[in-house]
Amino acid sequence: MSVQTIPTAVTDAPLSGRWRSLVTQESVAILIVSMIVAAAVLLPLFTLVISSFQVLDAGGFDTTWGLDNYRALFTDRIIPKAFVNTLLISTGSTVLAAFLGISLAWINARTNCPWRDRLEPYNLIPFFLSPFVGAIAWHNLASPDIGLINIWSRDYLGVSDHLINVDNIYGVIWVTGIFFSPLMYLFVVGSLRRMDPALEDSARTAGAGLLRTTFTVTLPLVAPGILSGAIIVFVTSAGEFGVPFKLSAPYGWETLTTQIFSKAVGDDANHYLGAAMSMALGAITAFFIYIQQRHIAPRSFTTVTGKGFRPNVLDLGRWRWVAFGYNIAFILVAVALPILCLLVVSVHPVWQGKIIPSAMTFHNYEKTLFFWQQDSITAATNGIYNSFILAFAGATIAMVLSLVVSHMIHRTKGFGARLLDFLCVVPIGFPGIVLAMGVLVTYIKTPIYATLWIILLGYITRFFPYGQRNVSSVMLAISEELDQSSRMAGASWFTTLRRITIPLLKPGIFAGWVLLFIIFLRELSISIILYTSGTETLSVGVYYLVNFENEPLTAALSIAQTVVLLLCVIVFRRVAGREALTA
Amino acid sequence: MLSRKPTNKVIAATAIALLATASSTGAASLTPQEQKLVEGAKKEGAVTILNPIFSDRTGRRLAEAFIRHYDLGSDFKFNNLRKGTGQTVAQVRQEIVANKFTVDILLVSAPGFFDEAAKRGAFEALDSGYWKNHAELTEKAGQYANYPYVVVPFAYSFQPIWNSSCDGMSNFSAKNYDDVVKPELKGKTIASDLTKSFTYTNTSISLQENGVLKLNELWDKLKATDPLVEFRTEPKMQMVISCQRPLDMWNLSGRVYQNVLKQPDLAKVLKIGRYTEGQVMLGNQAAVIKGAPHPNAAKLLIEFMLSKDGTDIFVEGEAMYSFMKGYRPPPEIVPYVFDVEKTKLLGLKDWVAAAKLAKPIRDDWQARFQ
Amino acid sequence: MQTEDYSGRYVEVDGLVKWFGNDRAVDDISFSVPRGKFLTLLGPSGCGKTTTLMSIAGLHGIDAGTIRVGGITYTSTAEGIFLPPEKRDIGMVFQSYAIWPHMTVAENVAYPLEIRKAAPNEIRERVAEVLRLVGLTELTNKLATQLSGGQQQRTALARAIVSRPRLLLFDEPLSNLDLKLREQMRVELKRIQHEVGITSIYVTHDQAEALVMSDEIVVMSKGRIEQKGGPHEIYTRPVNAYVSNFIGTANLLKGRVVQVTAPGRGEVELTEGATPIRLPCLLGEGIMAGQQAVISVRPENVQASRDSGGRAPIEGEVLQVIFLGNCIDCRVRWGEFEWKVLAHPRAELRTGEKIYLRFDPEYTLAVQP
Repeated sequence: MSVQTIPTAVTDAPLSGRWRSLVTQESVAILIVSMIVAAAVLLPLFTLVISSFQVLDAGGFDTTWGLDNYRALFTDRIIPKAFVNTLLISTGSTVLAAFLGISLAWINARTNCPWRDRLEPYNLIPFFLSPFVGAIAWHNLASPDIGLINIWSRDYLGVSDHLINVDNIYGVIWVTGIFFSPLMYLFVVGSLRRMDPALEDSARTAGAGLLRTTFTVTLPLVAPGILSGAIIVFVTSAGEFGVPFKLSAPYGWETLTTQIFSKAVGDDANHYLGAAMSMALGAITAFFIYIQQRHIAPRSFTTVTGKGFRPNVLDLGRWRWVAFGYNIAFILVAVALPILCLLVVSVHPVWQGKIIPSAMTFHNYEKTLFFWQQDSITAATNGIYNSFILAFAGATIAMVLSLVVSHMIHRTKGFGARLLDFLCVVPIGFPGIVLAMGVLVTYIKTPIYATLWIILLGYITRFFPYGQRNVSSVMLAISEELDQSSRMAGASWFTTLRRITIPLLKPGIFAGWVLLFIIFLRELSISIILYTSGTETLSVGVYYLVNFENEPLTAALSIAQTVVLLLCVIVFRRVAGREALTA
Repeated sequence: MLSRKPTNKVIAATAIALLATASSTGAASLTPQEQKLVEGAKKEGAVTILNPIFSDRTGRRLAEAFIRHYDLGSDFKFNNLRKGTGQTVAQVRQEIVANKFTVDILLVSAPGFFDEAAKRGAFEALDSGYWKNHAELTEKAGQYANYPYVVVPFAYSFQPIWNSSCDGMSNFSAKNYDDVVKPELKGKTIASDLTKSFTYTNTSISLQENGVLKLNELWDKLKATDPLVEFRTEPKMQMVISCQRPLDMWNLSGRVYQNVLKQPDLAKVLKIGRYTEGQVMLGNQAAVIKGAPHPNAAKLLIEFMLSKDGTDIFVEGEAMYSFMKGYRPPPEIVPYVFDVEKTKLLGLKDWVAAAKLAKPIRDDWQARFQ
Repeated sequence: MQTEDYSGRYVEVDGLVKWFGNDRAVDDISFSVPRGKFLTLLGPSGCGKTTTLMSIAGLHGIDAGTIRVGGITYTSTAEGIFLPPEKRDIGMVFQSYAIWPHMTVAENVAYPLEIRKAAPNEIRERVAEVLRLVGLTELTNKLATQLSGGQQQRTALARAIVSRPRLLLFDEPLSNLDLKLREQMRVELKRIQHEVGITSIYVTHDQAEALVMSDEIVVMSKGRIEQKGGPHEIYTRPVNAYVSNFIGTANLLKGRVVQVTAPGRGEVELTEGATPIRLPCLLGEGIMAGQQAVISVRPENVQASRDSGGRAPIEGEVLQVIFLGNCIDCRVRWGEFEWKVLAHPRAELRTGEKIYLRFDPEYTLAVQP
């Protein structure tokens, strides 16, 4: 066998000189990606910080430097109350989401509740839908005067005034809690499923019954997962804009996000004050996320091994039907009821709180969806078109970025990797509306202003960490040695990425793509700051209808958005499989 | 025999020729100002008007009429960008500060902003052939205008609106401010949020400055009726229609009209009143932003809106009020608007100075309602 | 191909230092490997052997030192040279085998040749040849996920050698196999390496493996080299207590060198055990008169009998007698010390009985503590 016919990999003289060894494919790529990520993430935040120290004068055009914006946080009539409301809502939502999420997760992973495998996908649906739409639905269900539930209770149950009222801070907690309970569910169910049964078995052999084991062994082991989930829900609730905008702000309970919104683009717009508020909100949420990332997430007590586990299942006996009922009730109340209500409202030309079968028509769907028709509403029809474009392009770009960034974080060592890791977590700590303000002020003088590109930039900046964490978790499960052996075999860093890393990551990449697609399709807080005529998105369309049109039209577009999102969920389940949504 | 006097035949022929050319432009004769702008507008090919008022329907009809009137071609793009009052001002302010313009015309009721911006030279100087028809009545109605930079194509006014089909409203009628805050109306009223919109604030300022009533007393009585606080006119109209809150003391007759278009039997139950103390007119200022991408088209659109054909469109679409001398609204709108010349109109002598009153008045309101 | 003869020191590692945070994982390591030979880095986990291997592979950088292979400098901190791993022409077998699950056996093995842009028929021939060598020909087109541990291991080996690299690196490749397979693979690996003749560096914590496979062993502890040498030398002449104990088993007692009787020979006095007795012994390198030393005697070199006559032996009590089939593992108590003795399978030993131990000076070593 002639060895000379196959060239060896060592063809040149070795690179000499320190700086030549720095310029490898890998290091150049790291540099470029780090710069992109830093620009995308840090620039808007930097602009926000600067703006927060600029105080608007009476004329409304010029600014001076000062601390008045921060002073106003305490002295303004509304802002401190808004701050308190935000804390209350976040705490309440977290408690509700935790209760629902943990109970459902336990029922699903650890009991013999009938059909629990079939029920699981439905438990997750609220996560994929738009909480703003949920708020609209619940307003139509449980508003004191025109809510369907209250009308029925008045007509059929003889209740005098109203049975329930969601047009207040409790309504916000209710809707936010329900819509974020799948987040909690995912954190907990993953922990429960991956737990080594030997941990509980040893408690059982020591004499503890199953229930006692659950409380003394299982739940404490799941505690880090619960805590992580709670922090994520808390932070996400604090940054939620659509729900308080619909349910509480009009009735006197402002939150930091609704206040930032009105300070950003409200009547006496003062986005410098908005920036100061954003810094305050962002600082709090960023702090919590930091705690979660550094101190809680690494303390995961469950080990991921290749062995498949059969975790212990509790036999509930007759009570398993109660568990089943509970799960069904959750699905009905959280998913079916609001959608049904929206359907009913959407087929009436004008909504007066009464179901009038004779007046029912699909005309509202034509007005919001049929862009070729004369009387269609452009904000709505633009919204569908633009949202699809943004979702496709955004998810793709974000996943490519996630891939490269994850690879750099997990496969390279050194300062650059740690910096990237940190940069990737930063956007999660800032609510969409805050980031969007930063993006607006930073890029207003550039050509991307008032185009779809600026919205795309906002989306990717805010959400690519989600894609990145998805890819990362899959990448962590793939041994580093698979990449290393490719390098040893002579492949360059890029070839390794192309031939080994990406093919192995395909399932995780696709799961991340669909997740981002869904998130972009229903996004509101960023779009609402950055849109202009022609670049409305789907949620902005709904917002426009809420402001300038009536409930039935709003309901029609909301249903359309919900249907699209549900289709995406089905695709996601098909392709990504059960374990894809690991938090 | 040849003579220097033209014969009748020649006169007739010339007249016919002139008429022919006039009709071939598809419009009545254009003023010299309009003629100067049409070529430029055609070349620019688009215009963007940022405003909180024009519904999709009005925007479409305005676009069609505008393009047809000046024969701008089917490729001409008319962008009706509708955002809330605050948002429109915020966007233009940002663009001025950033020196980056995507909006051609700003049309909104915000005298303070327009004055400040005009002082900074942010607007183009208009050469309008139609403004002189509006100037006198605009001033008489106490509205802020600042020709040649800022004109007022129309105004709206907040009127009391109620749904007579709701409980206890069948005999209700609103003719003055006392009527809308009667104690019997407890749980039926809406308080419009002054802090969210300058239009309510300005209405309040005008009422106070003109000595019509004492605001604090009004607020106290309103508060006693346990009102629901909201600021967007459409959602308030929805509340009236659904009987959630059957009376809104400050809403727009245009909203009533639009909802009747959607559901005609609402015409029987939705009622519009008028304050005998006087209707505060909120003139909507319009200006062309200096540096805008389509200045000629913008100036031309302003001209159109100041002309009768243009005014007809938004009067019909939104039931607005025009200060054009001798203007008569289209017949379908007449039930929805009061006669501008026969109603007591309130405005302010100096809107800009009055803006200083905004904060204390808002604070007073906030102290009671928030 | 190199014209100069580096065969004596084909791989040269000089002054290697690597820090991980505050921990000096590799603390000034130097060794060399002649061409075609098999060197093992042996030590417990944390001793720095894998870090050294990874540094040679170029999978991470170093803080000081030089790594040269076949005359080419791979890494040199002094000259600022760092050749990236894909340019080092090294075949590497990982502990987890790192067989790519989305490819077949043939595709896995062909990969290095594809990278080097070999012609398709060359690739086919080479892959077939190498698969025959490792005994995997029937599995050529099987998907990697369907292989057993041993089969994956062979695939990894095949992939490592298919491009005839200049150097082979092994990172504890047998530690995930069960005992029988491990013993079998040790011999196989050595045979294959000898047949292809590629210079090899092997990392393991299993001293039996090291003894079976290596031409030379480098015993490491806490980032430093304790001893370098051939298997026999390391086994019979360990330089200190650590190496004594790590390779095979040894009885280690504290003692003091009483006198030096000849170069490399002397007498020690045991300071541990029931009574201070003196034994003639071999002196390890650097052992001097009067110093504290450790006396090392392998269990198979302790003569145990019930006969108390003859040379002054140690008298002890039999604690435990474990019959191992081909020998008897006997524990003898002597004061505080417990001797390990490997006795003939037919020796008659009973628990609780007195027993007398004798020592051969040639196999009694005084080494550094």
